[in-house]
Order: sequence, then C-alpha cells, then structure tokens
Amino acid sequence: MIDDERSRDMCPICKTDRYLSPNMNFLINPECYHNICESCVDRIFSLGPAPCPYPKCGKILRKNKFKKQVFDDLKIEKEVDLRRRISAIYNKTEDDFDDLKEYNLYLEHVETLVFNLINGVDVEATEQEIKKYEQDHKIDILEINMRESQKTSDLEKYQEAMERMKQEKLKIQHQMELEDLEYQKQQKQSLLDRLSSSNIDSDEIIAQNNSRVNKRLSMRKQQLQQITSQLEQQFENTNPLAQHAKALAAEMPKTPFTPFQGDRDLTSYYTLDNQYNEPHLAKLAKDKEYLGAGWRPEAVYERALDQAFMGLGCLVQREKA
Amino acid sequence: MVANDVDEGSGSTSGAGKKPRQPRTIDDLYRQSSQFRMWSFTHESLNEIKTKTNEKGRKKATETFNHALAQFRQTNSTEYEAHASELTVDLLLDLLTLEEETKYINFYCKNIIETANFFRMPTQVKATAVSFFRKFYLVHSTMEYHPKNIMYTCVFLAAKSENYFISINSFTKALRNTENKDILDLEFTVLEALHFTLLVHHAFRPLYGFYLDFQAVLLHPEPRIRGLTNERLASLLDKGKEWIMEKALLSDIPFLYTPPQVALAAAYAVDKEVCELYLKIKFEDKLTSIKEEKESEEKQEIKQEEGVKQETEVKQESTENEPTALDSAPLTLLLLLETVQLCLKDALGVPESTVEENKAIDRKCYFALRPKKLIEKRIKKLSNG
Repeated sequence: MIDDERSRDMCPICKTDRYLSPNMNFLINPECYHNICESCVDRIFSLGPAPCPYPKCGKILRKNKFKKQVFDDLKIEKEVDLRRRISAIYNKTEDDFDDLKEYNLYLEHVETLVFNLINGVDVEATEQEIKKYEQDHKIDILEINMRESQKTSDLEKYQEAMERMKQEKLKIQHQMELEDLEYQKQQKQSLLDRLSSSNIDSDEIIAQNNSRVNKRLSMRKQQLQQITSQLEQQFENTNPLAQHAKALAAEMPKTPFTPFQGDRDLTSYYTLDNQYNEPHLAKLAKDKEYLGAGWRPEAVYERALDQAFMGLGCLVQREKA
Repeated sequence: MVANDVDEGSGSTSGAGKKPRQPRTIDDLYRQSSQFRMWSFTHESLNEIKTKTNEKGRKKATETFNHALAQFRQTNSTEYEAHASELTVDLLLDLLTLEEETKYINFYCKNIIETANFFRMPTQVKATAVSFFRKFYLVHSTMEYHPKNIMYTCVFLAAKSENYFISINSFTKALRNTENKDILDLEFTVLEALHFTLLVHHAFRPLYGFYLDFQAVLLHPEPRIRGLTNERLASLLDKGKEWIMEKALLSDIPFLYTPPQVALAAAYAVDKEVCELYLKIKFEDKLTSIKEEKESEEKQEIKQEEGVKQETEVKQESTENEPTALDSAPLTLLLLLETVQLCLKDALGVPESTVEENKAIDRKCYFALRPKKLIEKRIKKLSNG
C-alpha cells in the first residue's frame, strides 16, 4: 500500500516528488502502461521513439501515444483501451442483423475476443483473427462508422438547438421583466401625479389604476406564452430528430388502432338507453365527488350489459361434448 | 392464448392475400375464462366426475379403516381376537353413496349462506363461497375432508377474493369450536383443489344487465305489454336474485350453463311473460337480419362462380367454412329458449333432504373419517352385550 502510494506520487525515472512540484502529471503509454511523469516524457521521447526507461521493460514507445490515466486501476484502464480498439473494428449494430439471435451471437463472439486478450488466452491467434476481420471488412467498418457518426451528430445538433431555445426563452423573459419594472415605475409616478393634481376621490383613482395594471399583466402573460409557443414550434421544425420521426411515421402505413389486431367482433347486442329507472345511480350521477373521480353511471350499465351477453351463446352442453 | 394471437397476427401481416380470420365474439371471450375452460361440464361428464370422486372417497375411507383396524389389533390384541369376526370392513363401515353425498353438500351449501349472513357478507361473497365449496367437492370427497372446516375456509377465502376482507381472528372468534389453525391449514388445500381459479362469474350482474335491457327493449319508448311498469321489472330483478341465490347456487347449473343463461332462467322462472317477449323481440329480429345477410352473401358467391370457373379450389374452402360459421352464428331464439328451459329444469331437480336424513349422513361421514372411534364403539357395544 505505502509503496503504491509513493510510486504514485513520485516519478521513478527522475525521482521528482509531488511534494516538491505539486503540478506534475503522470502519463502512461498503452504499450506497457508504465507511469512516467510529463517532463520525463518530454525529455526522453521528444526526439522520436525510444525504449521505455523502466528497467527490464524496454518496449519502444512513441510520444504521441502517451495519455493521461483515467482509472486508478491499471487493469481497468487496459480493458477500456482494449474495448475501445475492438469496438472500433467490430462496430456492427443490431440493425445490421436479421434477428436478435444472430446479433447476440456476434456480441458473444466479440466478448470472447476481449476476454482472450485481457486474460492472455491465445493472444496471438486472437490478434490475428482481429487483424483478418479488419482487413476483410474494411469497407463495412467505414460505412457503419459514417452512419453512426451521422446519428450522433443529429443528437448533438438536437441538444445544441434545445440549449439555444432555452437561452432565447430566458432572454425574452428577462427583457419583459425589465420592461415591466419600467412600466410599474411610470405608473407609480403617474398615479402620484394624478392623486396630487386631480380632485376625484383617491380610492377611485387607485382602483382605476389597479384594474389597468391587472389588465396589462394578463396581456403580458398571454404575450409571453405566445412567444414561447412560437419558439417551440420553430424548434420542432428545425429539430433533426423530429424530422427523422416524421419521416418514419410517413413510411408506416396509416391504419387506425384496433384492439386485438382487429379480430374482435365489435357488434354490440345492446344499445345503451339513457332513461334507465335507476334512482340510486341517478343520485350518484349528481354527486360531484363521484363525478370528479371519473365515475359515470354509463360505466355501470355497460359493465352489466356486457356481462349479460358474455357467454350467452356458449352452449356448454354442446361445446364440451 | 396470447402467444397464439401473436403468431397468427404476424402470419397474417406477412401473407397479405390471406383470408381474414373469423372475428372474436364476446362469447369467445367467455370461452377463454377459467370458468368455461375448467369448471363447465356436460351432464354426463359432471356425473362421471362425481362418481369418480365418490369412489375415491370410499377407497380412501376403507384404507384408513383398515389402517386403524391393524393398529387396534396391535395394541389390544385380546379384545380383537374375541370379536374378530365382527370387526370387518363390510360389517362396520357404512360409507356415503353418491346421492347421500350430494344431499350432504347441499345441506352445507345452505349452511354457508347462513354463515355468510351471520357475518353480513354481500351476495357476491356468499355466491363465491358456495361456488368454491361445490368445486372443492368435485375434486375431493366428503369422506376425505369433513365439510365443516372446508365450509369455513371457503367462506374465508371467498371473502378475501371478493375484496370483503375479514381478519382470521375476528372470523374464528365468531365461530364456535374453530381455531385459526383449522382454517389456515386448509386454505392451501382448497386453493389447490380450485386449481387457483378464484374468479367466479355469477349470474347476478348478467341478471341486472338483462333488467336494464328489459327496460330498453320492452318499456321504452312505450310499454310493449299492457300493465308493464318499472315496478314489475324491479320486482323481477329482486325475485330473480333470490331465485339465483336459493335455486341456482344449490344446484349444478353453474357448472352446466353460462351465467347469462342462468340469469335468463331466473328471469324466466320469475316472470315468464316478460322474459319470453323480450327474447322474441331481441333475437327474432337479429335472426332475420342474419339470415338476410347470409342470403345476400350466397347470391354474391353464385355470381362470382359464374364469372370465374378456375377458382374452384378456393370455393371449396369457403363452402367448407360455412357450416362452422353457421354453428357459431349468434343464437337462434329456439335454441336459447330451449337452453333456458333445460336450465330451469335442472335447477328444480335438486333433491331435498330432511333433518333426520342429514343427521344420519353426518354420522356416517364422521365415522368414515374417524374409524378408530367406530371400532372402539363397536367393541364397547359387543363387550357390553
């Protein structure tokens, strides 16, 4: 533990300590994952590829491959790098397969490759397989890449537009608030003026003023709502995702929704009468508590009538024989 | 059923030229219920089940008797030796016949209603409890489980399943000589016998539905019979409910007919005139309209046949389909009336039993379940005499 802690704080090459140079950074290279401080990397690898300065390592490293360590655990760091590499090659999505089973098989295969590389099982054979796959499917990989990047850029655009709309809304709101403040000031001033100059009853003047202010307030509210709804509409029109959805909807055949895929016989044996003699239910139908909760006497009638005809034509004796 | 639907659905979307399926009617909906699938029988199959259950009970009772006798022989060999000839199955064991069992179950059904009344339970709970009880004794015999605790368990379960919960403590407190354990131990046994089908479609709501439809068809806009008033229909509803409670529940008709048919039978039993007129108006119109449709369809087909001769194969298929379509075609008036009348007949053919009879059956059942007592009693009697 202590050793670990120390090695994290001290570069083993130049022995610089974090205590003395608090803004030193460690970098690693995915070739060997050894920790080297930034200044050492600059110093050793500026002139081109050089062997890893760690004793007994000696792997040839390049400066441009050095990166900051994201995860504390090197194992995880390694795995993430590996997965990034593999997923750049094996980048098929579910849309590329006819059915789920095939897709799952493909995922399983990829996972096996990753497992092999991480745990050092048949590393060479696996690497060769990956290489071969990459060569064989070069064009496919590129194509899928293009497609996916299109999708993500759509999403980015959408988020951007959303953010822009929000800002716009806030700006408008702010502006209106400022205007309101100004208006209020004016009103106050004019009210005072009138109170001092005119000879009408002061209460009346205040009432007049109040009603005017209220009117304006409601008008402003309406205005604000209108503007925001306009903005939203505009946003919907420019939104790439919405356009995509619209295109999809246009492709789909337009059939009305029918329960049970339209195979339900919807002929009814009865027609609801609106003058059943039900004093009890009629009383409830005037009760606001019942109506507020969504209760309707028709629901009671329909349920009873539905059940009255449900199974009327089932002749048990004949059908079970 | 659901998986089936999906399969058929995807099939129909792929093959666009396929003929559409027969739409599901409201009757098909009932055919999917557990009540129809598992608890509806023909007269013959119902009798067969009852006989089988009775035989099963007899076998079980004989076995327990033999077991008890062997045990008795081990513990009191001297007494056994003295009266060995008297202590045989044939001489001692008097088992319940099918008729006796039926009477016994009916007796307890009445008890259930009384018990439920005692707890002021709604009609729905009572009816469900009776239904559970009768279903239980289709699976097991009274010679396997004594009806008393089964009865309480059924009432308790029905109260739960019909959302009229009553706690086990307050339930057993009100009953004499019954412990919590007696009921809770049996609960799962009863559920198992019911195959966990707890939803029971009763005839009460259909009856109410018909009562509403009577008003729509017979009363509005003007009465179809002279003297038909709301009061007459209201009394029909009340009496019909009583009829279902007293007659339908105590007979086998819930196993033999569907709830709407039972409801119609109740209405028919109470007010024949109204019920018959209603059926006539309602289903004669329907029948004629269906006939017309069929005829027009046939005419169209004939025209097509003249036009195209090559499609003979397709034609054959459609003619094959036709009889089934007629079969499941909505009710003819005659068929419906016939069913209702049969249902009425079945409801009235319930054997009545006297108090003495019930007592005798109860004793038999008691000893069938406790053969040891029977043997001891006989020994006592023999050694005294």
